[in-house]
Amino acid sequence: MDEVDRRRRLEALFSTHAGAVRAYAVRRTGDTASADDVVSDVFVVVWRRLDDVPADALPWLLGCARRIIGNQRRSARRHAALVARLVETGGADGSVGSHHPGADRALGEALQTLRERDREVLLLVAWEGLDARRAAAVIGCSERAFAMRLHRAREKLAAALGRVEPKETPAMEAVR
Amino acid sequence: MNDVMKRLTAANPVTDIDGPPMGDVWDKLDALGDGARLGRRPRAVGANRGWAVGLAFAATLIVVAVVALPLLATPHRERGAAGANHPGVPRAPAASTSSTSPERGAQQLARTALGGHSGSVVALDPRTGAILAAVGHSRVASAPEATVDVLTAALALDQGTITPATLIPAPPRLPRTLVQNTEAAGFPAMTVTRALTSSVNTVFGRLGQELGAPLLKSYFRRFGIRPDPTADAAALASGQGGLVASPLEMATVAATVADDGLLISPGAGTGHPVTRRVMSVATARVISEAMRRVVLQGTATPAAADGAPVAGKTGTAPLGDGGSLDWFIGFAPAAHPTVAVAVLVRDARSGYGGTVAAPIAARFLTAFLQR
Repeated sequence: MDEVDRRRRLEALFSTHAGAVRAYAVRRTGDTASADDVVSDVFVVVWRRLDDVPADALPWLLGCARRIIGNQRRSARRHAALVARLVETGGADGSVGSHHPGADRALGEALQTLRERDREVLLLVAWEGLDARRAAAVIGCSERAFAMRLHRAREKLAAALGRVEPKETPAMEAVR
Repeated sequence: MNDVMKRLTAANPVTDIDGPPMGDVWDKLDALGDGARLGRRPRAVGANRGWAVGLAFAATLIVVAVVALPLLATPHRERGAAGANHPGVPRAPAASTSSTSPERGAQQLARTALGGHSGSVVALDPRTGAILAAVGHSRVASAPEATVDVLTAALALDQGTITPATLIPAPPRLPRTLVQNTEAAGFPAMTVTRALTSSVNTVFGRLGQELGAPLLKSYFRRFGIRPDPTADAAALASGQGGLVASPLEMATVAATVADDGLLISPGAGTGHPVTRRVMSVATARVISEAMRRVVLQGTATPAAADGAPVAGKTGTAPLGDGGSLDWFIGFAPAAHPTVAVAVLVRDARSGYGGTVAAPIAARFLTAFLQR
């Protein structure tokens, strides 16, 4: 690949995936400012390792963003609080570029009680929209291991939600 | 259980978002030295490399001319003019960004702080070496001028040539060299801290003569600062000729002092940054304290940022057309730095690092620390 081809490939990858990488980074960092820095760092890595980028580039790119964000020493606890805030407010405090209207306080609280590794697998599927194979590529484990982790994380989230909002107690059911 | 996943999907806080512009990627690649291979591309600030290389040559020539012909030199003194503002300097234009978010990335803050000036702003995280922002000609080398006093002072302290209490002579000029003070002013012997605060060239020239050119050159090279093989020790040590360094390299110098003397090779926060101790902790703290005084009461008082103590050092080279090349390197907050900067501005007026580059650094640091 000569320089012109490399440049074209970088630009093609950027135009196809920069939006998705940015959205991931916003969800992980909570603001577009930090996210934009992550995006440019990711594509600096892409330029240097262009030959390593697989045909299905997005999981590779998100894995790269994930490591960069990890390097910024953002603690798991801070991330938990951030995710909770985003979910509880629907991202509606102006710090993210585009907001979903649906705020869900109970879900935010439940997510905050999970361990980082559980929260991460859930969000890769629910927010990044990745299937198990691609999500496994992001965090660098096997598809089988990912499926197992996802299954357990779902159970934990359901249990946590049950604690946060005990909708119908057995006693109430008995009355009904 | 699938309800849980549906509910989680529905709570996605970012459902659609525009892709960012690619300019920051090019800027970072430029700053990391990978940009040279990218060939020609549109630049956000200023003209092409030829412009800046020419400027570096012109700066060196003019420095030599000014030093050799003191009677013709435009008298300037960093200290006296430090508080002056520049009403004629164009204000920073509103940042053109597609994002309406109140928060902007460091890159954007740097671009806004630089405003309409030709030059460069580079910001590093002194703890990781990561490049936070790189705007303008961040890899283009110019004469670093008196910003290298910081390194001469550190080397002299670490070599035991002086202690923080040693009084060093500060004559108007050094015999048999081109080194002289601004306005050829002489002072009583002073400590290295005082010399940094007031940017007294002959003190550093004298330290350079004690240290010797080979040691100085090898020390400067550790920071990527390239010495002219023929330059004499006094000129090298006082930044009055024989050196070229880019804003990125000078930001690395500031980051090293900020990080208690550890030199971290800049990276994009990826891979493993290389860390080397290039000055002792004690020396780094002495230099850091002196740089704090530079901003409090010395040549860089306009670098004082709202809300956080700034430490820094200025440098200035007059240019042939009456303008000047102005440097500021520094970091903030002074006690526990989270950001190190280098600002290089080519100003059409005869400015000083303290009056042109320092306010740009102050704008950037204020905005960055208030994010």
